Amino acid sequence: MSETLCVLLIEDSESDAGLVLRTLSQGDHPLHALRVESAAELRAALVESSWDVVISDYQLPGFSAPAALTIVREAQLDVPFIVVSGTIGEDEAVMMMKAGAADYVMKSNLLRLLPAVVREVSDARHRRARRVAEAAEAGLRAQLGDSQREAYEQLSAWHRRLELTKDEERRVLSRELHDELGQTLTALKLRLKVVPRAGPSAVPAAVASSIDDALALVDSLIDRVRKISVDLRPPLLDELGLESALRAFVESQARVSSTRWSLQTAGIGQRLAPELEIACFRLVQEAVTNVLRHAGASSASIRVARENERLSIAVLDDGCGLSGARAQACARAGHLGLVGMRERARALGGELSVSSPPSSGEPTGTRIDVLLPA
Amino acid sequence: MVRAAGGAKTVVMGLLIAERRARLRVLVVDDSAEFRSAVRAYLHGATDAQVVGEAADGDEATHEVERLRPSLVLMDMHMPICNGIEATRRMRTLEPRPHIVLFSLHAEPELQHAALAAGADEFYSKRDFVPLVEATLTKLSSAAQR
Repeated sequence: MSETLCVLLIEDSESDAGLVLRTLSQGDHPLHALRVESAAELRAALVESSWDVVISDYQLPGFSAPAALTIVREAQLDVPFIVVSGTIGEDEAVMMMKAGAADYVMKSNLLRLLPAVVREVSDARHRRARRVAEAAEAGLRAQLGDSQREAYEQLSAWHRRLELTKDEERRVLSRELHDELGQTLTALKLRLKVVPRAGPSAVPAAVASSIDDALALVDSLIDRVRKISVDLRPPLLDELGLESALRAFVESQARVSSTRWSLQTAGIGQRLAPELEIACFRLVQEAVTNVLRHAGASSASIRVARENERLSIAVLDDGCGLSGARAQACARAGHLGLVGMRERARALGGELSVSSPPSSGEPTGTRIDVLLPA
Repeated sequence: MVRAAGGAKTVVMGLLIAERRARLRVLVVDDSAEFRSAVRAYLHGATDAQVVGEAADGDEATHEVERLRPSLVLMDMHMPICNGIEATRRMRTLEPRPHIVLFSLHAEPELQHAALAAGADEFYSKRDFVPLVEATLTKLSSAAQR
């Protein structure tokens, strides 16, 4: 964990910049940081050097986080962008996240910054590694002769096993976080709450105030544990099953995107095998993410049905379609999770197909179908 | 500062509340013994509700409700064997029916929706357990007074 962390800081106040860097220097990585405060400086910095993370103040004289984010996105760099601000409101924060910011942290709660940076930087490194792997796989597939098919199948099988192992690891980790850390933290909070009840005479002011600080820290830990655990595994899936979890997910996406979503389900009111439920949930999640990122669709529909011992998932959108060239471009940029989705489907003995009517210049939409044995 | 000025008054109010709350019998249900014991300590130290029993899953909770007849059940949603939702469905048909609170580490509105749909009276996020349980106790005591 001693790789240098390269931080590009967009901040006009030297003292605020110092505060951010001091916070980050508490991590395991040596820091290399550069502070810029204008669009021109940002552009130059992005060209001259490579960065692990961009941290931006929300409002600067003559510059702002939304403008900075646009520049970073235009440079087509997969660098996580984190907003640190004293003033950002919920609406601005949501807009920033929708525009592609990785996270936002309030200046009053800088404790959150280091874990957010570590998480986003590591995610971005994984994405890069996956892009390289996917590109290598695509190259391999193109060069394959019949004699090499067996080796390729072997590789494929490993990939499948990896997907399954990942799900299982995530499930275990999420349980561990929820059942162990989460329970202990909430118990700790209750224990701390008993103390002030003893009254001002029994508890000196200094102690009471330090208990308040401790409570705030516990709250922030609970929030983080909660978020990580939800990212790892949606809590609704375990408690309420696939249908409710899908509905909740689609509703939450509908709230933050301009695409109109509809979800139709049939035959999944009863619980399915856990690995099937999580696979189906993740497939829909990835398909939805694809539509949101690439399709520019005004409406999209999802249908999940279980019939004749098969679970079928269909995701349709009316967006810009997926011509071969576009799909390849996306795959090269590492955006299209289709490779991973296909492997996930195969891991359960299923198949995935993508269809997009031949492009004739008009928006045509895309349809993704998955069939899984159920 | 406010606390110091109104100290005596607070104590008197505390006694009044103590009398009102004396009747509340609480069953605490959670698969974490740590959390159950923290709830017990909190209710004992900071309120006048009385914890009459504990259970570690929904099955056990249903039996304990029938045996102990608590007026309030504080129950985790996520438990092995029989989760809080399922246990709530069973408890809501009992007579007398306890006031059922389901809680979760998570705060997704869908969980709240599912809890209420199953027949729970309230849903708490565990993070905000203290103010919420205080409000419930106050509400139940004043209802019992009438």
